[in-house]
Amino acid sequence: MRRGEGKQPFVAGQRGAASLTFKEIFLFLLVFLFPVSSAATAAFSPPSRPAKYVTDNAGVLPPARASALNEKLAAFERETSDQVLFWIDRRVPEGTTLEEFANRSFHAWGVGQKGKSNGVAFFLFTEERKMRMEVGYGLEGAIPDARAHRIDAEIIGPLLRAGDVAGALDAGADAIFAAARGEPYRGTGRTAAEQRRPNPNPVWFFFPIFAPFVLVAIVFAVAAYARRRSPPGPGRGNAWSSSDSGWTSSSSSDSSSSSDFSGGGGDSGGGGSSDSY
Amino acid sequence: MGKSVALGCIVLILVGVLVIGGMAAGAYNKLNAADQAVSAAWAQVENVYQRRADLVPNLVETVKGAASFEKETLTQVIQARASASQIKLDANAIKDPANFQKFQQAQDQLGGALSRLLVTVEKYPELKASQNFRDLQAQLEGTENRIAVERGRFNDTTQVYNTLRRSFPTVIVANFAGFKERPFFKAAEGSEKPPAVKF
Repeated sequence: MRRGEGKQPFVAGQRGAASLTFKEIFLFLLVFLFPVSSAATAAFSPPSRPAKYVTDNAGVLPPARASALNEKLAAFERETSDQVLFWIDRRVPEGTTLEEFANRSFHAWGVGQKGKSNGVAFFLFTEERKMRMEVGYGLEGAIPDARAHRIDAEIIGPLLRAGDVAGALDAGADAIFAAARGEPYRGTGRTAAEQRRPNPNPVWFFFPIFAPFVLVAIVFAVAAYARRRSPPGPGRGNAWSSSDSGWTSSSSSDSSSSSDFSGGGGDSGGGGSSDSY
Repeated sequence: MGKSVALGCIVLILVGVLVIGGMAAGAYNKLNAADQAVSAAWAQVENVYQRRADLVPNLVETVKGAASFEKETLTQVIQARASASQIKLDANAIKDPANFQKFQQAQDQLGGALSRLLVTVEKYPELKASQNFRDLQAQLEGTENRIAVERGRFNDTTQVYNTLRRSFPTVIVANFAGFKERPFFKAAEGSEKPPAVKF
């Protein structure tokens, strides 16, 4: 009697389990064969990474002033490795906020160097008369929110109200430079874009391969030279005069007139200040 | 003949065990990495909330100085800060949805009290005009924005983890090894955007 009772639910349970596993297997197969692409959350995607330090989609900057500012920002990166960007547009895109736009863009562009996150991106929306200075993690100490706000409200804002956009951004860049120098980052003399550029002289690329041969050749040449003039004259030893002018440093002033921006891989956690003018 | 068939079967089973074991180990490692990413994101969330809590005493001090300032609003902020600071959760404790909800409620309460305080300040032009208060306001706005950013990133990493945990071969390993679905921040009214107090 007892055994019978005990048996009944056991069998039922087993059958239930079997049917369940069949269903599960079917579901598993479905999921396995047709993996659902998940992350459909990001409602808005930031614009692609700008090619220059200064981007003017609103057409309010005279080209000469824009490229001058661009060069100034590139020079600052060469010196300090800090990346400072300016982005101008008419309106914040639909479906996002000023803050979200700034942070997502900063993150996507990788403003500032990797590991240092020493970047600042300044966003200006002319028709909405709004601006935001987004400060990377690595400059939060040098440019705390209150300082970012003061630069916005006391330096950039008044010039914008006076209609001098180029002057406002120029003065803003100077103020950002002054503040960012509070953090002792050192530049390498080249921007991230310049470091990424392929080496201008391909001979140097093969140098490690050639080096042993060159070394052997030099040793032989020296040996032959020494044997030929076995009685060495006094004061004679200038065999190493650098007569071969094969590799002149063909670099520095590049033909491309304006410097490119390339993100270093920095990030921001939403520090900075949003202001209107 | 029969011997070699048996041997073949054993080899086949061995290979099968190896393959399945390898897949399980891979799934486990992936889960672990995703889990660690959530913990790292949580550390950032705690940082920014702590940052806000640290700002409050300074803000209260500054606002108190303005004559006849509403006591009630200030008391609410102080109390909300105290109860929010009591709930400290490490990366393990937030796996419990109840804990998580408590944390979020307390922090949202403080956020609400702070934005009410900022609205009240609108009535005190001389306070609003003081440099000290303006700096504090910029810091507070920046911190609210940081909170929004880090909460968003925490939710993103949690979603990656949860999706991985639920995906097919991994879910078996997850259930075996005790990887649970992780809770995330729900949008509370007013907590999604930084307080829009501008001047």
